[in-house]
Amino acid sequence: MRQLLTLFSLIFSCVAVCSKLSAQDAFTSNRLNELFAQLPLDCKNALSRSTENKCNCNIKGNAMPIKASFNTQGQLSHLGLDLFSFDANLIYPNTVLSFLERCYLEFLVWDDPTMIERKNKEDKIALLINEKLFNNPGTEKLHSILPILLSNEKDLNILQDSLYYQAIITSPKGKATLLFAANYQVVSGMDKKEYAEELIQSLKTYQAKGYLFATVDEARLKPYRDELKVNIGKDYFKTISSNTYFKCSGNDCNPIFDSQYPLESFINAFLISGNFNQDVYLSIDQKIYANEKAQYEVKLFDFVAYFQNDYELYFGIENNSENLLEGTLVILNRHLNFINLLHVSSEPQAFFKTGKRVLKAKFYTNIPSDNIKNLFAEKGNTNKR
Amino acid sequence: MKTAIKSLQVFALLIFCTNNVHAQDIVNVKLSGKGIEMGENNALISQIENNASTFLSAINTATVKKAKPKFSSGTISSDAQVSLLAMWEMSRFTCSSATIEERLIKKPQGGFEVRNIPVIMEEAPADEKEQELVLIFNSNGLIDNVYLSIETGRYNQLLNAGNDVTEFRRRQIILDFIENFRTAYNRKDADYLSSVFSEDALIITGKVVQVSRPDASGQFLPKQTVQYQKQTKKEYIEKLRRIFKSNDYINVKFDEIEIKQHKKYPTIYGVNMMQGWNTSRYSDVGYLLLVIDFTDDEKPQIHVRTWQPDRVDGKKLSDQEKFKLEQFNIAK
Repeated sequence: MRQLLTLFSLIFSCVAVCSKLSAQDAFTSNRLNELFAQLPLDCKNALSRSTENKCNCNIKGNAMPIKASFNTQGQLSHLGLDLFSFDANLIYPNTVLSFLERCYLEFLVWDDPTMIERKNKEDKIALLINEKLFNNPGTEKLHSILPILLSNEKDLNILQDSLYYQAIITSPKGKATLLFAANYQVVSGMDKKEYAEELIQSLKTYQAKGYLFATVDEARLKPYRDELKVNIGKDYFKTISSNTYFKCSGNDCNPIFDSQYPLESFINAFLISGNFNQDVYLSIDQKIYANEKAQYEVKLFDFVAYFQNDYELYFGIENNSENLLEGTLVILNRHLNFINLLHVSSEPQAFFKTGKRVLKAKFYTNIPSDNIKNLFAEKGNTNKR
Repeated sequence: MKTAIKSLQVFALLIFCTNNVHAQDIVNVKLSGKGIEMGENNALISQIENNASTFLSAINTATVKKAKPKFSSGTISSDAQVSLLAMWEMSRFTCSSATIEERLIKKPQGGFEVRNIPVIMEEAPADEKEQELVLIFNSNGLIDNVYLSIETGRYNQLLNAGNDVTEFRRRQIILDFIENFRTAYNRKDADYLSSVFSEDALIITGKVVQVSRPDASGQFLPKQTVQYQKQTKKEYIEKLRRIFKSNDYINVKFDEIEIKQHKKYPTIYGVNMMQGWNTSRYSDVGYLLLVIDFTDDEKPQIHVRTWQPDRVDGKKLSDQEKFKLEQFNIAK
């Protein structure tokens, strides 16, 4: 009877999850949908049943460890070979590790010359086996080479320049190197629409904990004006920088947030998660893709904290008049060479009120920065980004 | 101190009084500005002018004598003297103008300040000697603080940044539009593509054709040339729909993007780029020019789209051969 119940519950859970995953919106990207569809049926069932969303799947005669992740909406957000230890997550960006896991699974399930050529030519992904470009497979098949390289004990080393990644997996059986573009679509496997939708879900549910401004090294603070000091950061573009502003009393320096210094306070509020932006909310108008838009409200404190990891924040002032504060926040993802851009404006009086304040903002996401030759071509300068 | 001085060099040079008067003992400070406009009493203004003049003259005298500066009572507070002497320990300095005409700025939290006072730091490296001093006065006209305004340039730069940042933002919005446009091909979204082309859009597509022309010796040799075809929006979108239907996938990539603003119509931009076109049945690489009207940046309109092959007869297209924004007459 007990066995019967177990069998019944297994069938039920599989039917529930599998039918859920058969819907198109059950995946964060079309690419994952296509990849999942290629897995053997028993593999799909096993992944759906496992509480850890991990299992061993038979792919073209090889038992390979596979893992899946689901987002808070229950959508499948990652699928790939289970290749790396927890330690790798501490060293390398999660998005890049996920890419490697997904990409090697794709190589195994779509092991044919056309796919390898497409990856190479269109996505600029090159696979080198023992330092030799694997572009003309001939009689050699990836599913007879990769499992041996990837299943053994292995070391991972990832190098990045401004445009490319090089991920080297070394095992006693040989070396697999993947060269790929540091581009959001290649690495995430999501296009602009899919990425924006995923980001909106994350932002809506994200609540920062324990993010208070970091202690600033006083030696880095330079005199600015009045009793203010500037923590000189990096410049992104001319006057768009990560400079933040502090007021010091003796050895105690705190970020300025004071109506006497509206300009500097406004900048600080978008670069630092502090007590001062806890009650400031952003009413965001976001263009998702084409004519699709989203409108939502998030706490500025959470918004800034969300982008503290994997991103760099820069702010530029556009208007600093008696009646209007206006600026642009550049959120740079250097790992994947794109920016998100937030354009905000507020009446200075409203910005410094107590209690809940709402700022209007327009949000543009996933603007690639790796395919630009000249942003200001008519001036004949070399302002390349 | 040296670090502080270093960060000043560029900005300070821009703002300094260009008066090349040699350092003198006597400095005369004349004030104008908000403090005065706001009806501060004349006695207080004179007091501030006197204290500033006395202070700067005493500094100059001390430098000539290579001694510590001495101030008459009622000129500077003891706290301000401490910070001045700390500065003096690092480097003596002189005021490089005999006459200072500056604005008196009333501080929101009380008191006044006078900025942009040019000084020469003796100990600084040659290219960093010229600095800028700020004097802070309390509400009685006593000098309450003295510091080098090393970030005045940075502050002014921040205040004047508006246009640069706005234009930067506008161009990022153009890039955002281009990324949308690219994504629409990959999603086979003909409806969106149709919505971004203006009704009378000019669409030109180049095609490489083989022709035979006689060479100097009269022999006919095959040669590649580009034939340009003009299409209406309707024709182009219909053709796209057919392509979308007959291909399993479309993968369009853009690279080498250049953005140029129209000289006469600032809301019109020309975007040149390299396009990689990949479908299940066909692939090519070519140069694309889009002339886009951002008058309504919520709804940009493409007025011109041109495509040219990247190579003809094995030779890469030169910059001169590529279509450019200025080759199209815009009538608004």
